[in-house]
Amino acid sequence: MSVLKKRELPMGIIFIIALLCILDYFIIGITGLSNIVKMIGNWAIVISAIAMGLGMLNLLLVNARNIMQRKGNYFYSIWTVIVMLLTFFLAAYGGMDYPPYKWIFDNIYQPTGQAFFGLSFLYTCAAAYIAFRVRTLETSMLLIAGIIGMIGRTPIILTLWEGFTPISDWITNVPGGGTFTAFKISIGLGTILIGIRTIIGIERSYIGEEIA
Amino acid sequence: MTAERKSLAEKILTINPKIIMIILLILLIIPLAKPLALPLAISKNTKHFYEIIDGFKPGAKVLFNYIPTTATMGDLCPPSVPVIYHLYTKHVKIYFVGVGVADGILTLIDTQVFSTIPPEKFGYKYGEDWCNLGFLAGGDITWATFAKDIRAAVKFDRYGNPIDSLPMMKEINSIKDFDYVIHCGESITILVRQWGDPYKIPLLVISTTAAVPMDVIPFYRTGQIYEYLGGLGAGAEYEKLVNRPGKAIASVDAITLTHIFLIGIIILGNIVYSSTRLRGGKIR
Repeated sequence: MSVLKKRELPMGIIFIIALLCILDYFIIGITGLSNIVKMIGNWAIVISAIAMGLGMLNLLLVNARNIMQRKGNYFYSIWTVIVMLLTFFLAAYGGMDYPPYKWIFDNIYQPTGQAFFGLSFLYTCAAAYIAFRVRTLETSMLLIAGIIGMIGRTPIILTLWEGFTPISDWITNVPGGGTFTAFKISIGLGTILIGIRTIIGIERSYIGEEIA
Repeated sequence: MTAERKSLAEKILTINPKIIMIILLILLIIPLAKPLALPLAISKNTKHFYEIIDGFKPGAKVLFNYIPTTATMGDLCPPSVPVIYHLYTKHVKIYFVGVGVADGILTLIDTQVFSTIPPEKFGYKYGEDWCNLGFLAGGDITWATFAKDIRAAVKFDRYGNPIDSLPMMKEINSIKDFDYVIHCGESITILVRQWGDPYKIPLLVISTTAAVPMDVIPFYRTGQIYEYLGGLGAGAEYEKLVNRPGKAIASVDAITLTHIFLIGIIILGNIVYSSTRLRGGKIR
């Protein structure tokens, strides 16, 4: 088997890079090490940019396959490919400030994106009317917290009675903030654990293997 | 008579969601077409944020990380305008950048900020008083590299000038050289992890309303985030503080009307629901 296909090579690279980054983070003042980590950081920025191009290529391949196989609503795929290639070539030809490219971005992409999220607001409101009912103890608590939360973000009500502000702040800061602090700590601990598992080679899903 | 009442209760409880959506749409459009100038209370967070910026000394170096997306621009762009306006009036040096993963970073700052309040109008000269370092795509490593050595991450500004040709970049090598960081966008955890904690730099955050409890509060309570502005509502308050009414104040009227309507129908729905249940009526 070629050395490039062996799993030891990517695992070794990950181990060395992770070790260098960790050492650089905790041990400040080693110039040589710092320069190496800076160089790795630069590579990561370049790879991030390449990943966007790779994403576009993948989207192109998936849609091209749909078109060739006449799958489902394949005409949407045709439209996706046309718009994607048009936008790409306009930006590649004239740069990010090329007026036709900016026009597409500012007048089509941004308003449609906004419209999509505006629609989700309307659906959320309609769903809230049905969900916020005093059916059980839990839904009653959700109702009370939801109503106070909404009042806390309705300026005219806050000007009528200032007493709502501390109640709304308390719900946001104490039960809300406390719960999310616990989430953040759990996510942090989980990330450290995955990092350690990756460095010591137990976690291998990133090279297409099952988790050990 | 009883049958009629039940029928009305049933109608209220099973109202077509499209009717709610149409009413909400009307309530959104009216104040945007004709602002109602409803009263606005200033929250303590917004007041503190204002006082911090008001205390900036002329010439202070402020890094402004601007990364709203098409999803969050409605909640983030209006509050950023009065904050940037306030910075102009304090004559601080502003270094705009977009570090993160977001669509529209490159053009949003042009269409949402510079078109409304061009820096030149406030006597700002490009390269000396303000600059735009452009967009850097990426996660943790990109943030860390930028913080550690800006020149390793950025070679040219947004307009293609080498950053070493900008006089205001002479004293800047890493994030430690800035006096404050103002972050407008998501990715709060990365911000604290890669910029705030390692370099002990004061972080001010303009966040979406929805992200305040989950992303901002845990770090605000521990002092890792110095102060924050929570979305459009806080933006409207800030516009009032700097005495420059704009998009946020116009939008907050729409928020007020829709919230009042929503609170009203939820309370009405629950009164009808509870009374029907108490009477032993069937609810679908």
